[in-house]
Amino acid sequence: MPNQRLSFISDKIRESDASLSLVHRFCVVAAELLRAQSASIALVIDQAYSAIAASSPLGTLLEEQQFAFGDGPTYDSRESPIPIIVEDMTDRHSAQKWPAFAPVASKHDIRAVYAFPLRVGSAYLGVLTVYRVEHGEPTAQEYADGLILAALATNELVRQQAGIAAGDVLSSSEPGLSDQSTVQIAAGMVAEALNCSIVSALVRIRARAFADDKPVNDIARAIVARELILTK
Amino acid sequence: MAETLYEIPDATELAVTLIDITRAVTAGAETIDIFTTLAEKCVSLLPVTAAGILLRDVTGTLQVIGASSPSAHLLDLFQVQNEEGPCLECSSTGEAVSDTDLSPTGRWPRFSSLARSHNFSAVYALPLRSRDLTIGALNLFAEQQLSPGRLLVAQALADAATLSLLQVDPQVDLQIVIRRIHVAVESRNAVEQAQGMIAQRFTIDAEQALVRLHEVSAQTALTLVEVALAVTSRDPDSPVARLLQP
Repeated sequence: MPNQRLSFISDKIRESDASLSLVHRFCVVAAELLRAQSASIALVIDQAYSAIAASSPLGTLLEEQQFAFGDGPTYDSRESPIPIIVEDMTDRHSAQKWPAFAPVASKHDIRAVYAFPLRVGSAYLGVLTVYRVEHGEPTAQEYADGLILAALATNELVRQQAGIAAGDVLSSSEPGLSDQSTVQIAAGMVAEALNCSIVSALVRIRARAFADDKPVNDIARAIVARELILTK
Repeated sequence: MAETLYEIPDATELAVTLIDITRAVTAGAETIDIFTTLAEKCVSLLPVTAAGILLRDVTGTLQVIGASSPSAHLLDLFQVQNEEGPCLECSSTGEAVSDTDLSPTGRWPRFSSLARSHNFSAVYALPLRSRDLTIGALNLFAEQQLSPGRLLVAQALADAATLSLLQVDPQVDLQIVIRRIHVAVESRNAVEQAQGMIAQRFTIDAEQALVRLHEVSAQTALTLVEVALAVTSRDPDSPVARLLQP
């Protein structure tokens, strides 16, 4: 049962420009709700980076620079499920930690950067980053909104990887990936059997559910019960 | 009050449990480990057959972070409560909920029939609450009703879970609370993914795989989550790799 905030955010996304891609609309809503100059979403699979969408060209630029340098909070987001909150890119700590990216952010008048990892357990798919002109930390509500949008984006990127066309906003908020124990166990089993990554296993399970027109959880249950074996 | 406390024969074990939890929190133990211990303690301290601790994540989903047993039946019982059931109500209202009828025509027919099918006849949900903030619920399954004294013990254990997670004044730093819940959920997901890999590797079930992961955690002095991440990342240099060779 989704909470009010998730419904509120889903409504915001529905009200956004429908001519844009769904992931692009997530970025637009992220920028609005987190009072940011720009927001971007990257796909990072097997350490290969692809720019997916940004609310404005500045987001794309700042994201690309970080992956080009291998330096910056967005780049570092792969290491932990905890969002990276940088209150001030111009302070000494940031300059030392990200010597290549900090000056680029400052040059574009960006003071605060928040990077929300797109992650399911140990599986890292990418990152949602917001870039703010004002320095400081997000409010608790903004932090929660960032996590909700990251969860929606994670589900959508798995769908895309599984070759499923973008559906309604609701299809991204369907339960399935991060909520269900059975899905995680099944993903581990598939990853071991096929010697593939957990991300790839999640994508295969999602694709199979779509192909069979069944809930993800049903497919996962069958895998855990060893009634269904996914092959390469 | 004296009368209800008198009903608690294992007050010493309760005290020891609360002291252990406090120590674990001060030592920086992971939420998933603390909650699993607490759920196990519920079963040893109270006449209940199963227990679980559920947190509401940022999207409103109830997530099981610690369970007295990793049985699939139990996980189903927790999961169905995202649609209906005592935990959903308890975590929304912040009030304790009990159901000792589990009637198929009652408030939560699907949940009740599932609970009945596993021979449970009483279910309790106690809030994980601090002032106005309810972060989840402690869920107890029993074959008989619990006395008011036992429910006090249960609430004390629920409070210990709340305190271990909050550690800070929720009015001041809600962001830390949100972050801790998020990390607990993602840690559990990583452990489950590792369970799946080990289950497949040794042709065992997920419960047995969890036992293996706990054994490796004890042998290596790594936390359960660290062991899980070593498994899922297939880190060849980790001591975990040698201990879990096919």
